[in-house]
Amino acid sequence: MWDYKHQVLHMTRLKPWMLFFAVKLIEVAVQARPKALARILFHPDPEQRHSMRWYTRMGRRVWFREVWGFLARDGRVTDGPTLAEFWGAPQDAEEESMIVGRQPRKSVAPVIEDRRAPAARKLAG
Amino acid sequence: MNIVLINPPHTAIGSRVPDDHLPPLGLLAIGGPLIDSGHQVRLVDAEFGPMPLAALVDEALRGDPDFVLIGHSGSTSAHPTALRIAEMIKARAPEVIVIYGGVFPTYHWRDILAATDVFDFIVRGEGEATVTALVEAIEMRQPVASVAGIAYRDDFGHPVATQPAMTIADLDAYRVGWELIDHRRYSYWGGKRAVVMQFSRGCPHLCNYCGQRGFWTRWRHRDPVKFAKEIAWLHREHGVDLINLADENPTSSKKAWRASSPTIRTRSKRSMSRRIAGRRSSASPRIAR
Ligand code: B12
Ligand code: SF4
Repeated sequence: MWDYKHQVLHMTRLKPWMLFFAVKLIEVAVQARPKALARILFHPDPEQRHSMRWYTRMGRRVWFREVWGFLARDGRVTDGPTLAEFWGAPQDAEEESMIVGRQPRKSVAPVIEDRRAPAARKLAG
Repeated sequence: MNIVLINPPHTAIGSRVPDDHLPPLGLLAIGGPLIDSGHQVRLVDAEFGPMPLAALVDEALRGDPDFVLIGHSGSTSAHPTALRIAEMIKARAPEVIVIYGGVFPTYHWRDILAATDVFDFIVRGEGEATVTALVEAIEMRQPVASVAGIAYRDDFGHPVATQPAMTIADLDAYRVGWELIDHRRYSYWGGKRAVVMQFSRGCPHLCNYCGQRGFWTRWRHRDPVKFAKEIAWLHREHGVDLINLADENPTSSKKAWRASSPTIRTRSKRSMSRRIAGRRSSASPRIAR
């Protein structure tokens, strides 16, 4: 379960190429929304703009790298294991890796000197 | 003891696509407490280059370490590389004790130990307290079975685990071994000097598809003022300009999170811009300008 990809791995209905290109298409569609593009191009804060453009550049590299990988580089097997075979028995009973010792301390009471701290929101990886 | 930490060269896009590399926080987090327990610790970060495995093994075995510790944040997909490195270390220096830790070995210790004998010990869950206790037990020739939170092969080659470790109650009781890295090598967002930091571990929410909450077991956070002082120190002393937060959900306690910002602002040069980048959908408050 320590993965955000297992829903995709579990797919039984679409052929691999259909699934792959459906995902790639969604990625383009989401990134090319006018609102998303406008944000990257015209965000008023230069540092936010810089970071968003950087993420977009990395995303573009990943997109081409994965398409190239799918078409030319990565070999696929037809007799591969199912997800259950590959990953073994469920480990639901072991979800928590440790046991709780003492209760965590109470939060330190904050002294907020400046409540106007701006909280810009963005998507980051 | 002479200890070498290895950050394997990762094959995944997260490592190979950007030109920047971030410091391996998990390894630095166990490096700090090991140094503080009196050990000699060195980091070999093979992400740069990336380093070929033969060169990595040469570099790791330089100075005849007693222990080689392997771990990687992008844990599952790094396993084949970590395994290869452990095999190469054991082939060249079978007496070196190899310890493996991180997310993947925490859950897959049975499969790993059943398939190979190149990892002497696996540390499950948080590493700070467990690895120092394990190294000390081995150094003092105490039975390792008394160390909670580890797994190994018993005398018959069967994987066994000791009882799970306790979560660390006070995250500020251990420090990150920043001295293990040269900050000038690490960057993000296209050359901005950067580190990964953690304000909190785990998450109070209960999304049923989530594995991260379970790994950290309980949501805990650091003292906001100490955290802020550490950021200010990294900025002042090492020119760090960008903090990549490793938190699942740093703003779970808005109160505690906000408490750190005034300190950061007053303790760092106002002229320098400062960024704290949250992950994925988390809020990323801009702390100071
Ligand atoms: C920051 C981060 C990144 C960064 C930074 C990498 C870096 N240099 O550290 C970037 C953006 C590059 C990245 C990329 C990737 N990441 Co990432 N990343 C994280 C994140 C948010 C924080 C990692 C961290 O520093 N945690 C804090 C430290 C203190 O915890 P830790 O590393 O687990 O270490 C503790 C214990 O595990 C243990 N430990 C760890 N190593 C060792 C070694 C020994 C010997 C011992 C004894 C103990 C020990 O002790 C430490 C202290 O308690 C985690 C999620 C999370 N919150 O942990 C995901 C996470 C690690 N990433 C993940 C993935 C999948 C990736 C990628 C493979 C994505 C991709 N497809 O390319 C790549 C891999 C490349 C890479 N370099 O890791 C997954 C791994 C899932 C899994 N099953 O393995 C995670 C868990 C997120 C998730 N749930 O999807 N990642
Ligand atoms: S870390 Fe995210 S996915 Fe996991 S429980 Fe918290 S909010 Fe849900």
